[in-house]
Amino acid sequence: MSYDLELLFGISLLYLLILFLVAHLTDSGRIPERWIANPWVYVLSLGVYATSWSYYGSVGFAQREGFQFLTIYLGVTIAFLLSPILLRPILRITRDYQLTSLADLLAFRYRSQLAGALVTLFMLLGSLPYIALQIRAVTTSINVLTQEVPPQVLALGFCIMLILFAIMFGARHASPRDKHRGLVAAIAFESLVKLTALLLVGLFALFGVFSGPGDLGRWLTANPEVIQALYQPVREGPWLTLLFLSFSAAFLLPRQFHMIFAENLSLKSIDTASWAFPLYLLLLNLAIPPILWAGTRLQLNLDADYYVLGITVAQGPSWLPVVSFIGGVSAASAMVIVSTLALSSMSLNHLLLPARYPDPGVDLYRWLLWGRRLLIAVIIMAGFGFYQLLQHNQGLVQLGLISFVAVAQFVPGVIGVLYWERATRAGFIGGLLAGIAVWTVTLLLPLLQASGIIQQGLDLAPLRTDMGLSHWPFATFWSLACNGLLFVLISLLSRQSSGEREAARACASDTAIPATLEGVVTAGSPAQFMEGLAQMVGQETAELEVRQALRDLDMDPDEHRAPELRRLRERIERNLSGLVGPQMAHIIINQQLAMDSQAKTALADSIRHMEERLERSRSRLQGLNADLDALRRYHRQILLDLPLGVCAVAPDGAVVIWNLAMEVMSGVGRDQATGYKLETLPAPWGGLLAGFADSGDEHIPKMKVTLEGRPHWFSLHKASIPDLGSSRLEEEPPAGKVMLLEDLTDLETLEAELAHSDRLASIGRLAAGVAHEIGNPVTGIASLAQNLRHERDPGVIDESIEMILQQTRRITGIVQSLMNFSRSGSVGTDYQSFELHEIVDEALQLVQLTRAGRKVACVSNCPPGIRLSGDRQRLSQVLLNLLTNACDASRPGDRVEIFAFQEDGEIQLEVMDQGQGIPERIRHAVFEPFFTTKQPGEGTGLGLSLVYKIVQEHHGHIEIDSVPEVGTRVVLRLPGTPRDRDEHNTSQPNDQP
Amino acid sequence: MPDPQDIRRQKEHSLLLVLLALLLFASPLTFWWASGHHAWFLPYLLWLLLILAGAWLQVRHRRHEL
Repeated sequence: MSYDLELLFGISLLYLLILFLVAHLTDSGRIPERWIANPWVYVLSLGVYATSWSYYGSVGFAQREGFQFLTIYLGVTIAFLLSPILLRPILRITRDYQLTSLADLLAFRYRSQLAGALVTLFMLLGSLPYIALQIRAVTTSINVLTQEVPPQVLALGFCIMLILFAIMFGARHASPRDKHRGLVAAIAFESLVKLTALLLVGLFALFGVFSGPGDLGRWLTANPEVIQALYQPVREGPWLTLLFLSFSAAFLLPRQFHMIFAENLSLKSIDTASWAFPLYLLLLNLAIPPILWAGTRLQLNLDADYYVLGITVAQGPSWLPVVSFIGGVSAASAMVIVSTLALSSMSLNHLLLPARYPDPGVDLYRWLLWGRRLLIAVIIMAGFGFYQLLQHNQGLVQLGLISFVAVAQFVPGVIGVLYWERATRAGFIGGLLAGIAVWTVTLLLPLLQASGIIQQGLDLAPLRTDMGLSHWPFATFWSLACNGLLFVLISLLSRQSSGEREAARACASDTAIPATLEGVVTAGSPAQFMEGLAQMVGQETAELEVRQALRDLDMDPDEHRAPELRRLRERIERNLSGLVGPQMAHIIINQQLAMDSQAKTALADSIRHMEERLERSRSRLQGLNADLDALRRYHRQILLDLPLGVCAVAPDGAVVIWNLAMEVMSGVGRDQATGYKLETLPAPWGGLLAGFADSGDEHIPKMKVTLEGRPHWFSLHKASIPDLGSSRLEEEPPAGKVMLLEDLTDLETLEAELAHSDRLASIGRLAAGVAHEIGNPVTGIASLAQNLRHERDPGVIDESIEMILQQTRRITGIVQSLMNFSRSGSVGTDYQSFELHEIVDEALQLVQLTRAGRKVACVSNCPPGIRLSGDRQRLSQVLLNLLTNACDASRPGDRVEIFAFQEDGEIQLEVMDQGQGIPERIRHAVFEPFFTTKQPGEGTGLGLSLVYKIVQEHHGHIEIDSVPEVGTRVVLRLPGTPRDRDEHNTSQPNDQP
Repeated sequence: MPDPQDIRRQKEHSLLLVLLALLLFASPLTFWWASGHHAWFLPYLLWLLLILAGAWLQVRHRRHEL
């Protein structure tokens, strides 16, 4: 049975059009996003690993090397089982730093454009035979089906179709950082097609060529040598070498790296792939032995590489060879498309851009897009050229394995990325060059010689024989040995640059400690960022990139805080890395968004940023790092949950910590405060806190702030934070300040209520005296009024009226004193200047209303002219409480005297009694609230504690001298002249809602 | 945010699986099953065993995460 060339070409064309349709439907959103984001689509897209080598070549490989063909998939299985240790860390780095290829990753880690260029060139060199292999597989399969040699134009047409597809669905965006969902869907579809096709051929082999498993079993029993032929090479062949090569190829081949990392949509997908992708490979290979045995049974006169087609052509239904052929086209096209996309991205970033960076006047996005498209065409055509150069005497597996050994040369470099921070750029480049040299001598030159491209190569056969190694182990061992040895030796002998050290730290998975962002960007706003970048990438691109970074960080376009601008700079570098590669992005950023080397930054500046990064990377911290992070979080939580307001500021006055209590007290959210200068905070907090931070005071006991029309009181503390990074703590300026705010409003209100209660209690005690004092004049008035009824003498009437008025004035005075004393006023609001003797006289008048006060002689020795500044009512309360205590302690007939004088601007007031005194053992407790020696109901125990507090508020002192059975002297010292009182003057500028 | 302990456990399981893989496919045990006295599908069975172990651990890990 044979097929027309035109028919096969038409079928290929139709298949590729279906592929176009799948990609188009996905990109246009007609296939639901949740389907594309499904981990199984990702798993199937990884099936790009299975190329025409797997599809066709595995049968030939199995015939020649038995079960060794399985190593190509068992190595992949091991690599995917190691996903949490191997693939996830690489995925993290590529995501965090927007790296889209292995060249990007290695150039980023070793901070070297040369490394990127070298990796790209070697990848190109190693991949061209592989691309050529795919083209050859398609043309040979046509040859098998048509029984005639296909014209070269057919291979060319196939290549042009692939170029078109790759450009339309793989290079839709200027940046490879954007995901290509259409491409992923199409590649997943291709994987499904080739799996289905191969399983159908396998089933045909089992039930079509053989009559089922029973027949196959009997045939195997009759031909035990075929099973021996499968097992024998495992014991004798390069099993371990092939296992290692496929292990490294699993994630280092350009197409694999692209699909695993660049097109990954979620971490969950890679977890599923860790077992599902090996399962896919197992299913794909399950059909290989039956197909091989079917071909053997049919005694096909055909290279075993093409038994997949051969058995269906020989004996199958007419549709099956077509299905089988489509599976082969599918395997080949997927490989060429994805490999080319990955290689074009690498070539653009590491060869074309460094060699010919576009003028800033050119639209960079457009330039990159067309550059990538051009490179796609060039690479596929180069593969086509290589295909034409190669003689067709190389097996599919040979061409594939050459690429495998090539990518294995990156294993030492990747170990440096993930696990060895000490690895240097020089070590990597030196090792890689050595590996490339050995690879060229041992594999490439013999290939070119075998293809007739060069006439003479090195004869390494004697050396191989001496070492007892076959072809592949020999090339793999020597290339990797030279590579690895030089990598280690040169790394140990050379030094890393600071950029390299930082990149190494960022990459090392076990030490994922985020780097601090030091320094200040010279550009002071996002607008200035745009101006700077425009000089290198053009105005439009600069604006788009800065806006994109602002969106990514959810940052305000007017942002001017230094730490935030450093974050913006870092974000732009990452985004640019996805656009032009990490090294070029690094160069652009360093040139156009330079850091101010003179500006000194503190650790405090980076705290917020570091905390955000630590939060993101918490799951990656282990061991001591995880413990330290737990400790950090514990301390941070203490600060956040502290019932006191905590506000820490950097040396430049920018807020670093603003805890929850601070948010509640001030009504200013953390986001509105953190990173901003204190003075820019909403009123009244900006001026209040900035003033306190700049003042020399370390403590303000009470500060009044009016919030929403209501007075609030706060106590403020301040301390400097030493720079712990400095070795000379005392000499270095502090790393910032921390301020604590305590809300005293509730306490103040309570105290005001207590003081009022105490006054009312005093009035209660005065009630009897008041009744008596008012009763006498009232009786007198009544008598005088009665006499007036009968009195006609005008002189006597006038005299009586005057006496009545005198008595009413006396009553009014008593009532006024009581009213003054008892009224409930706001605390600390009635500061005024007044004569001291006025309140002394009032207090004496009141105390004489009490029962105890009437029994003692109260004498005032307070001269007029001593003026006091303060709360008149509260100071009256002080005197009344002291006199009441003195009278209570006195025996009938004793004297209670008040002395007052002024000395050095200070007023001293003494209240002396001749009472029983205060015992030494309780003297320390008399100022404590609710402490009393009186009988229950006679005193509240608040009197002296209120006295102490009021005197403290007036910046005064109180002392007690007491000698039991002799008397007590209470000495008050108060400032006599008005002075700046914290609670009054400091609050004035902020005394606004 | 995955728990660091979970991630560590996942890494440990991954290492154990790879040790099992090396035991099956890169140790003298390989020469035993490749001695040719076994059914032709034995390597596939061993491979499947490895995959199922990986899948089981993955499902277990995901349940733990939930």
